[in-house]
Amino acid sequence: MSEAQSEKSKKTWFWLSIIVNLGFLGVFKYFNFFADSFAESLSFLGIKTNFWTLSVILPVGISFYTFHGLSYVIDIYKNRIEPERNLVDYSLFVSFFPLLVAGPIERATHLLPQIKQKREFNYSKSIDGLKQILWGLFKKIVIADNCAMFANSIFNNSAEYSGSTLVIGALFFAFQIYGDFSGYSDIALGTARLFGIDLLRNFAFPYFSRDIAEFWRRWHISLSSWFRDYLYIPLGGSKGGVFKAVRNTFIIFIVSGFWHGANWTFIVWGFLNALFILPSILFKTNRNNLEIVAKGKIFPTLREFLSIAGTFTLTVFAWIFFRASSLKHAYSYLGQIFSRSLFSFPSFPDMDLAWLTIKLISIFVIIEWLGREQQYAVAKVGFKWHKIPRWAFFFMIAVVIFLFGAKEQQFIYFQF
Amino acid sequence: MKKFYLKTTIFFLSIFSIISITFMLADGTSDAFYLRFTTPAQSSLILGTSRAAQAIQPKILHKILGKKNITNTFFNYSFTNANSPYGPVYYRSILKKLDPNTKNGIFILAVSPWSISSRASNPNDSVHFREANLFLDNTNYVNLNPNIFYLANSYTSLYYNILKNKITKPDIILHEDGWLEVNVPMDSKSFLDRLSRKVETYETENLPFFKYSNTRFNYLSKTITYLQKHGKVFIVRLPIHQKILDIENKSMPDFNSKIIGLSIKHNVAYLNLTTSGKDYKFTDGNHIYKTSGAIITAEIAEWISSDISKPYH
Repeated sequence: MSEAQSEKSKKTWFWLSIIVNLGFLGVFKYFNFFADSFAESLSFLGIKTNFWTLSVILPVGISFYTFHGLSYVIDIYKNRIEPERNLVDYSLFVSFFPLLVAGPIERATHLLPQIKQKREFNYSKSIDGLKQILWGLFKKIVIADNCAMFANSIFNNSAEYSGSTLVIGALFFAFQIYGDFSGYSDIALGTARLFGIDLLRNFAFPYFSRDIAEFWRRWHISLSSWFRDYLYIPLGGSKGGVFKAVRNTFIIFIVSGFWHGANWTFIVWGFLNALFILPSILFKTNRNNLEIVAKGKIFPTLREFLSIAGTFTLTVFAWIFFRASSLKHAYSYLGQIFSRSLFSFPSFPDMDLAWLTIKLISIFVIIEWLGREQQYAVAKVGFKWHKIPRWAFFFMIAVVIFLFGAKEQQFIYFQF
Repeated sequence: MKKFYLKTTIFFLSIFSIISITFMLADGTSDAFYLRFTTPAQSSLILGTSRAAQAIQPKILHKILGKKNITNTFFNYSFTNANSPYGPVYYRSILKKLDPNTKNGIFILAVSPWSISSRASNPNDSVHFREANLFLDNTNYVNLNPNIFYLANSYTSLYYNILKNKITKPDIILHEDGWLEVNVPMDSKSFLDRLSRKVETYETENLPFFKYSNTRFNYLSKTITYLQKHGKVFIVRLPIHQKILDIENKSMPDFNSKIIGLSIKHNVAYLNLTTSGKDYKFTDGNHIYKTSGAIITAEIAEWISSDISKPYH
């Protein structure tokens, strides 16, 4: 592409590359969805069809490395980087193992120069990497996997539970997906740091966001920024009036939902998030909360606290669609929540473990809150302490992971 | 880099020591199965599902049979209806648990229609038997203490419970001889609640789906043949509440005749305690309460001793 003699030829190579990249994703991930949806639409019109569908296993992490590849091609087309001529370096960029299956979605402009640069062992960087891995394991094994047991049981048998229990189930899922995905990202970032490579930050304490716009600046940052740079801005971004800004916002959120999987539940989840962000676009308040909440203070103000609680509630509401097996399931789940049983006392198959999990989540939230100004919650813990209590703290985290770690569950984002 | 290796090694060794200490503290309070995989290979086994696990108490067998100069040390190697129905998985595990040098062992095999039935659409397809990939199938080392393989792969609870249960003493305690002691409130209301739930489970989840499996029956026969090389085999059907018995009779009306046929074929004694008419105490209709379990164990011991002392032996 970079050696194309004319602009037309460059464009041809560019689109060919985009089509090939998206083609793999389309065939493996979306072919059956489109075939089924098309067949359903035709049957709605009274036309019966029997479309051919694929029976293939979705390659692990395809959505992630496709986006790595796309960013590389687009950046070359836009002359942001020079094409990589070393096949080994390029292959490492696309398939660097910590981020291969669930991100963060790296940019060639960020990762390739680090791959080419000579790296030497750095003690403090390596210790920092190990600490982040440890914290990621805590999030995944202690928080996410314990929450998963309840979230799975409640979502899979939602008809049997009261509205109040379903609310708790949705909360458990909110912490499951956060612990699971941000835990994975921490492990990936920490592992990469052991190799002297800094990956893009993927989470920045999103549940402490004061509005949805801030949430999306803090949740799955590498994907949000990817869509911003490669879809939202090329579509015109917020330039060109409110209508265009709203249209582009809906496009990126719906595409983002669709990126997660070929299911209407993800599309509705994306649509809901676009809807939630709409007021801040209309009133131009989407960049109101750029600073870390209650920076330098221990407690937030009442207003900040209420904003955080409100944003978290909207997020959990949208997660119900994300987790539900179908739209029908999501509607029945919500219908059951907004019933009289909402006011009954929640009950679970294993109340003792549920209480223990709630206690662990509470401790986790406190640690995250106290460490919210760092790259990850425990990054600076014990910096001013004597080394014995500092090591004891991290040793205690490792012991807690062992004693309170739940039965192994697959990472949620491996399916995407 | 040396400093990094040294510090991380110390850190990981410290963690490893915590893991080792926790595993060494695992015992009969940790869960309902672990301890059975920690003893050395045994010479006299009690086999079956959870009915046998809770009903047959080796200590009582030893006490009664000891008085008659039968000094075998019994070990209850029964698990659950899901894990240890007769089949390839249980057979392999029994082979590992039995001391190969055993000559005069005594083996009590508890049977029920469920232990020779399958939920699979083809009841003879052993690949889809319900115990496949459960803990008994996954536990290759059954005579190891501490059994790190079981604890690492099959212990379903949080490891924290190993420590907690040592202090709080749970309602379910597995004894070193393999007997599972279950302590539940035995007032009539609690019992009737548990009974109705159990009956409902059996009617809705077992009765419509379980079918007699010829493969399982053949494995029961194969198990008997193998154990006969090492001693004497006794087959017993443990008592259950009338409501559960009615369901079993519906599920497999010819169960007794099948087992009688098997006992004749192998020349082993069969004791059917479902027809004893005695008023036993059950925890839920399916499992005998420990006080009645002691009575039943004594009855089995008397029956074994009288059979062994018969002149043709």
